[in-house]
Amino acid sequence: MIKRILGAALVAAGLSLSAPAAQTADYTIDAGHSFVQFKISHVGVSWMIGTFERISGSFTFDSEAGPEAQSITVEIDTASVDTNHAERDKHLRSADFLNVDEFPTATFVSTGYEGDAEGGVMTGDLSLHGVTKPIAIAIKKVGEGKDPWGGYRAGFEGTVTITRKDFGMGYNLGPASESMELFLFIEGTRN
Amino acid sequence: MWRSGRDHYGLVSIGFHWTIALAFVGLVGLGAWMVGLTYYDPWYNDSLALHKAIGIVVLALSLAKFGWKLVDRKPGYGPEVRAYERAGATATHWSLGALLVVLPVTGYLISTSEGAGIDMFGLFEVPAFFDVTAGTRDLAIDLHYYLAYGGIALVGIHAGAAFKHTVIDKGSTLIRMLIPRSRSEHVDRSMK
Ligand code: HEM
Ligand code: HEM
Repeated sequence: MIKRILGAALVAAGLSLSAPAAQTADYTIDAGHSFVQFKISHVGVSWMIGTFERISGSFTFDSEAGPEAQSITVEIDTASVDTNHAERDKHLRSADFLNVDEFPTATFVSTGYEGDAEGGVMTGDLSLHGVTKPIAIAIKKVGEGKDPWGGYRAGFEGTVTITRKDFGMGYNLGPASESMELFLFIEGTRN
Repeated sequence: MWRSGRDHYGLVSIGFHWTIALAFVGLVGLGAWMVGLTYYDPWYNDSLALHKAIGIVVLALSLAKFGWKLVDRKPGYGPEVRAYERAGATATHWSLGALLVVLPVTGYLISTSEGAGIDMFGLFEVPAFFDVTAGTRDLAIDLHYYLAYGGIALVGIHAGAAFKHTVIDKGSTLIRMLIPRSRSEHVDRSMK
């Protein structure tokens, strides 16, 4: 009898532990489905596209809460820069540009958001090449929902234009290539 | 004439030595110069293209030279070269020989690390044979840098020693790498 009661109590305790917790609004960035790319003019005639292959981070996306509840942190491994050209990538990793030995990670940490659950402007500090400067990224929700593997996902895209010189990377690539556009395609799985 | 003798190098060895020596010294100079070029320099792209193609030629020549050395006679050192100098000279020659393979190979690994081949003067392409990881690539970059500048210092010692044995020791060291004939009379005279 005592055994039974104990057993029931244990089962009950187990159940209450496994009961679905209140849904979090915290997401972990899915590195395999997130991309940070840049686009810069090549001598004014075309575009050069590059990607950072290794990124990580997390974000909070809470469509119930107000704009101040939304936030994101992204970390970028600068040495993972890839423009499909071995020697160019070597140059981009060198002290002329990213100086990856000294500044191995670039980060974006949001400080505020204006907009709604579909899109808006995310402001924050971009630390790149040892320089931290506020930037404002125009973002748009791409979608959210259950994935086929039992998780819940949300995805966003954002763009921002930065001037290389502002981040201490003024190496002369010609007048058309002073600034560059950054594209962020960020997908996260809900924790 | 073509083959080496007991006291001199043959024309084939002489040809290999000076062609490779010129290319090697030239590549270090070209390499050091090209990495300082700015993006808007007209030579920014061509200098590297030349560097890579000439470097691959050096690798091919060096492999051919090693093949030839297997069947060629090996000249002994002249009497002006002392025992410990011989050991030093042999160690230097082996190191230079190793550099002639390792340097172009590391360069090749850097340049092909993203799958592109090496364009050989627009004539044909040496394909990227290996899948190079980022770790290997970074190692190759460091090796290429340090071995190139360390190598040119070794060449300085090597050339300095050749001049020393020829000028100060009044030996035939340089001459036997220049004239593919037996210098026995010359050696005899220098012994007096
Ligand atoms: C630039 C000035 C140079 C001079 C004056 C010079 C001179 C010589 C001489 C006189 C010899 C014959 C030594 C003997 O009596 O056995 C020799 C051999 C040799 N040198 Fe040089 N050399 C020069 C550059 C180089 C360079 C740049 C390399 C390669 C990176 C090189 C690699 C060798 C090797 C491997 C040998 C051994 C013999 C052989 O394998 O053919 N030398 N050098
Ligand atoms: C005996 C052969 C070679 C010698 C002596 C040599 C020497 C050098 C030197 C001195 C540098 C400059 C390093 C610096 O200051 O950063 C350099 C850079 C370089 N070399 Fe070579 N090299 C050789 C062969 C090759 C080959 C065969 C390739 C490729 C197929 C190659 C690809 C490169 C590359 C990609 C760089 C770096 C360029 C950059 O940083 O933009 N090298 N080499």
